Amino acid sequence: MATREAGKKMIMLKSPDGMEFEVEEAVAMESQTIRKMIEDDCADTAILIPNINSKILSRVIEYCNKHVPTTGATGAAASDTVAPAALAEDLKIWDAEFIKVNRATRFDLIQAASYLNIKGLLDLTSQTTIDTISDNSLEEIRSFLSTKNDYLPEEEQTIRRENQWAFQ
Amino acid sequence: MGGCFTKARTRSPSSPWADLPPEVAGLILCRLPSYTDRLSFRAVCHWWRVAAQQQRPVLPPALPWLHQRMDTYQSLADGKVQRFAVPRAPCNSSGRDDFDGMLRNFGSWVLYEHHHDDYKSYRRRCLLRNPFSGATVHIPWRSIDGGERPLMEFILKLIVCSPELVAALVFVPSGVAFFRPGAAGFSWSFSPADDSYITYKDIAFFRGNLYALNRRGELFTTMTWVVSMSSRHRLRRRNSVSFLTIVDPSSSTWLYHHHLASY
Repeated sequence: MATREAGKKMIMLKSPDGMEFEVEEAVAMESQTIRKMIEDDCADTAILIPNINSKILSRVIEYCNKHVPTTGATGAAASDTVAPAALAEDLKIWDAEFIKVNRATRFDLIQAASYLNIKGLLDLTSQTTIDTISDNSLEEIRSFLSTKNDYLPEEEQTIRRENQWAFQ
Repeated sequence: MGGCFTKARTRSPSSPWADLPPEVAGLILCRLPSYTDRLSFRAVCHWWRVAAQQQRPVLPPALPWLHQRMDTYQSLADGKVQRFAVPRAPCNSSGRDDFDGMLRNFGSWVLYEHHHDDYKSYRRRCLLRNPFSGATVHIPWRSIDGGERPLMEFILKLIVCSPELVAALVFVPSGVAFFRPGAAGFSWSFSPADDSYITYKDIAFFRGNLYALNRRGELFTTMTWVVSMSSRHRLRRRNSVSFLTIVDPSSSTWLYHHHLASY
């Protein structure tokens, strides 16, 4: 296992397309899945993250890097002098920028957050979808997610009849 | 990712969203407390509907709707107001057919009482309706005590256990009355309280069983397909049931009924 700065343990994460990412253990442990692997001593060398390509994995690491000082590592963090409220506000703005991605990437991020079990990232990535479902008509939801209405005509009729009031 | 479920359908390869994995569907549905939003989710496409069905057993129930007025409901989840037309009683004569403004709410079901007056005869009709699903059950309005008083005056609580069984907590006389919609006879059968001095306080339907709580804090249960209260289980901790929490997962709305014991 690689070590870099004094006292900071490094972990190697590998994506299935062959890219390697060296990250601090505390950052990697933002993921409950990786945390469990490390705690169970299953992470001697590099950890292969299946199903998550390097593009998405790098974004996930970016997210974890940003979020680790407030939620993970204790001790001499750089945020010692920053008020928690200001830090939270800063993170919120950063999150809002982070999630400005296209539909396909957001889907990949949700899946990655789900597999790696990163609660903050899950909340963030699913919120846009939740807002879409809450605020729009069925046709708008389908159009926003680029999904097609694949119901057979009789199924569609049944669905509408079952809860006619909801789709008016 | 569940492709085998959807092979027969025309896929839209442009969007991965159509292939929402069940665990992600669950994550999103968990964060959708509004019943209407969950309906929208289910209606997006076939696979989302399947995913929602798979997740249903592990989902927290959607937030309930509050019955505000005669025909108006408000969603606690998002404040949306929904109106449902008050049903008309079936009437094949030219006489008046009035809904006289009496209704009671029992969970997702509303009990309406109609008066029918065509100058030759005077009839009452009782109708149970779930405004969300549109399901309707006609209820005999008399014969729990054989009298003429409106049914809802002596029903404390009513539960539609299944399409084949309606149970009602009644007082004077105190007990639980059962009615089988569609069955011959069209009448209530009555199961009196165990001890006529100790009346029932609440009833609940949970996982196929009907439970009744008396004022002593003793809990009775009966299998719903046995109309008489034949099997009873007394709760071990006497006088300790202060809350009866009722969640009806099968209904489109759910309600907590907290009845604080009076002692």
